[in-house]
Amino acid sequence: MMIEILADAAQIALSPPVIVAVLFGVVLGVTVGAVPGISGDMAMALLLPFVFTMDTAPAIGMLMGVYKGSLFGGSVSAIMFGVPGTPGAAATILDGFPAKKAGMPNRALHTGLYSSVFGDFSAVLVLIFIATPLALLALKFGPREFFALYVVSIIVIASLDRGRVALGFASAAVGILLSMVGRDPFSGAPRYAFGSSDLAGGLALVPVLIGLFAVSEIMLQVGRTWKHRLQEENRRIEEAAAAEGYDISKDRLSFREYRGLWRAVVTGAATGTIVGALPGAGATLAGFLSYGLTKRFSKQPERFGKGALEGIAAPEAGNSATAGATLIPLFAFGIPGSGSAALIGAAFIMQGISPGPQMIESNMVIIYAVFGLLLYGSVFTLITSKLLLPYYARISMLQPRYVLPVVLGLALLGTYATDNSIFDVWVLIGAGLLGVVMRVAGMPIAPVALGFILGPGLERSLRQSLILGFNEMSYFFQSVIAASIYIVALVVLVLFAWVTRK
Amino acid sequence: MNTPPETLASRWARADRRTIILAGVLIVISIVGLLHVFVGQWRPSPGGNPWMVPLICYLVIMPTALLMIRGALLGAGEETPDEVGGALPIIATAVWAIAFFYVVRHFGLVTGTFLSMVAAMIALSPRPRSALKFVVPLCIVLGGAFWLLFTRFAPILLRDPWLF
Amino acid sequence: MRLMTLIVAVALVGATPAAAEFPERRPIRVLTPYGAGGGIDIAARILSAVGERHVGTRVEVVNMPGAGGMNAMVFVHNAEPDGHTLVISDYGPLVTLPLRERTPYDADDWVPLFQVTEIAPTLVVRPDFPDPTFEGWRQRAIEKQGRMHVTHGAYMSSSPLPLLRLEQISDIRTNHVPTLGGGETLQFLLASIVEMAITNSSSIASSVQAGRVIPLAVPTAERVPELPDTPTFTELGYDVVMPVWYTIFASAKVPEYRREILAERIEAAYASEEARQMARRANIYLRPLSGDALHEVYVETVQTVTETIQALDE
Repeated sequence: MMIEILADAAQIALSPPVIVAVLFGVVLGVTVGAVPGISGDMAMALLLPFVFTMDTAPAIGMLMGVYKGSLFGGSVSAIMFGVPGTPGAAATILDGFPAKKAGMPNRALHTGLYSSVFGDFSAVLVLIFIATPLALLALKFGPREFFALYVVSIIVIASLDRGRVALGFASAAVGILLSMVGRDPFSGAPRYAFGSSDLAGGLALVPVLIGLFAVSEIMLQVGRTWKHRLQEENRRIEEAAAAEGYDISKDRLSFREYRGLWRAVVTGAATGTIVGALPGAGATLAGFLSYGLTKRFSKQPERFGKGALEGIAAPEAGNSATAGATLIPLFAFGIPGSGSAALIGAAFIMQGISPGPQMIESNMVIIYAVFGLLLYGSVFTLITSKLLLPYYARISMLQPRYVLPVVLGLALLGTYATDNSIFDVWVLIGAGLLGVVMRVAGMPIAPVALGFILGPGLERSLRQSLILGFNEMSYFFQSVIAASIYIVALVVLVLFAWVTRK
Repeated sequence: MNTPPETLASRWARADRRTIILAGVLIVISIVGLLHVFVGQWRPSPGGNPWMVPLICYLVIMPTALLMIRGALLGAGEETPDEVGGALPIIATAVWAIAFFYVVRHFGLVTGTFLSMVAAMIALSPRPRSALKFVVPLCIVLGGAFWLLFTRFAPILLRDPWLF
Repeated sequence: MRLMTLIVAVALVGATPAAAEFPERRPIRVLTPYGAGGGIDIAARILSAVGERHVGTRVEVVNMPGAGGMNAMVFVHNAEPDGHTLVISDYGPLVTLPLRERTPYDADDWVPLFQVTEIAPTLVVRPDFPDPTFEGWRQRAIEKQGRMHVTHGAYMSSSPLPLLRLEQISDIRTNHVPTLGGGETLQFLLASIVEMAITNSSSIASSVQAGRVIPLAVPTAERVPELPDTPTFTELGYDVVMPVWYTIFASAKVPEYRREILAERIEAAYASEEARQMARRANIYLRPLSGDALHEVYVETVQTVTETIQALDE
């Protein structure tokens, strides 16, 4: 019986249309992921109309291919331009961009690729073998458990920077405040809207993230290019030297070097799988958490932020691991763990398969076919990206004066294309200026962005818990899961403090 | 001999002023925010209130900002700031972004992209005249690529434009 | 003089076919005040997929979720009233929003063309609920004196409003826990955090069949086909009729003959075998409605929602 199902599933998964669809999705995903301003989610949303006319396996395969590909593709522009191609790649910038500036773009990209594929592949294996138990745990999560998770996540993120913990907390709080703009979900009344209906709708994630990370970087780079333009002669000599100095044969990632990163890769893959399986969290959080954990446990934490390959491997393994893991709650209980999972869920619904309790049981063959194509999809990512990487690496050597306007133009129109909102474009430019001010003032951007992402969930879970507990504080600690999260976090923090003291 | 006792003035002289200014701004933000929480017009709701999380944020920002000032006065290491080419190019970039979006929406996608890209690339070139030969064909191609991308692949909502 | 008359006549004759040529060749835009991938988006994309053959020109779906849906409504409201810009929505941005905030339009500025589907925000409990019927639930809620936890979508969205109305016209009181929507609502119910949840009838249908949840009542005028055994509130003796329809609207400024052409052709598009097949696959239970019957439903919804929200503000 089981063997028959597996044989049927394999037959579907390995049929030519399915293979072509997955391949197409992966190539498209890597490409749109690499282009800043066009996220994988956007591409997936745009492909949804075609899903109607396709069979289930190729449709889901194509979308998952885009998702997987974009999670890696995002790191290409993160490393090359310091701009996250997709929000999930935001953490990859922290070391990816310095690594490129240090003259090793090729090694950085390959570290990203191998870690992405490893994270993705291992998360798919987890999805296949322990989907149900993990989702059972995730399903036990109520508001107070989520609140515990959010609080712990914010504490971990805020203390990313050793020695600047106070600043980290202040930055996270500023990010949470930014996320408070808009209608209060519990009363419907606008907050910090100053009478504007646009502000009452809240600040959208895409323009804020692209603005803070990307537009601010572009603005500073324009400043530098403009300044250097006046020192033309020096610049040309410098450029010539830089171009001559870059020798791709010296910028190769050796197997031994990559093997040395195994702890970062495994930490990232494990973090990404767990974070991805929890509804509400997503690739961005997974990237930052993996980065933070790896940095905390690293033997050479001082190299982080200066182009450490560990700092690329961890967030890339982490964010790619969410692709498979985010399907765990979707498949088992119909709860999408992220925006991307919601789109995959919509595609299933369009195919007449309702994600939910009986999805796997009643669609055994097709679900196993999907498992199969998820596995070989990772291999496709590896092969196609390996072929494409040399071209992307060359793009990075282009003159900034040609690249910067194009990237900014893409970010502007890409943001507009997401929700057709003119206000989002103003938010994008405003967030860019804010990012410049923050960089100049020495305020770290990552905790602000994370505060912004986690703020709504933090508030929702806090206030839901207060309603459920009739405003009793003890309600927060009467749950075994929540209490364990606090205890584990406390133990880890004490360990951190103890380790860093030595 | 004895070193003179360190005064606040001498500490200030070598302190990390950038951090102190940032902390000062954060303190001002939290004071304004707290005032707004207590005297502003809010609609109460069950489960805490709409101002609960903002209140927590301000109460986190205030002491952490004070800690930052303390750290700066005690001489915690300063990191080198990002290199900034002055305020003018940054403002110019923002203005360019607004202009680009305006031109694309009012003149048309291809025309707008072409004009904005040529202007930006020429402005950033060390030798504008000789760059034209390369920039103009490049921007024509870019205009086409943007048109393809934002009308066929990820269509954006455009008014009926004058030109393309 | 004769020449003049002739010119005018020719101009008139020339003008008449031009005016009758509706829709023109440029595409018809259907805006949604929600993001891609949701139920309304899927309902719109069915029309987009089969539209060209039936409507006479291409139909483009534009998602514009900004400002809580207000941007899409304002865009359609301000668009040239030529029938080439329409909106598909539930009653939230059309009816609820103008009641709560200042909007440049109100419910009277819209004319419903075609109802695609009707969804019931259904009251559901877990199978371990003692006496899982509406009456059993009502008694338990009264015994618990407002301390029974129930969950639903965001405050003021279409999922809590039927319950709020029920509480306004009865002695039932509960402790409301708003969530992000569908998935979270169901999770809190299945994780035994709350005793009752209100969620979408079409998305819950498979869980009902699997015995995971038991539906208690639906706030529709008649029973819904996906939950044939679930009574309506009216059957149970409560005047709570607040279904969520997905309806395509035109601005009231669009000339009537254009609206009629549109309504007729959109109806034909959704009636096509292809559209019905797509809807079946997407678990959308097509419930086509147009003309006077649809107008009546719209007027009734506006009235009930207005009453409920005004009672809340008191």
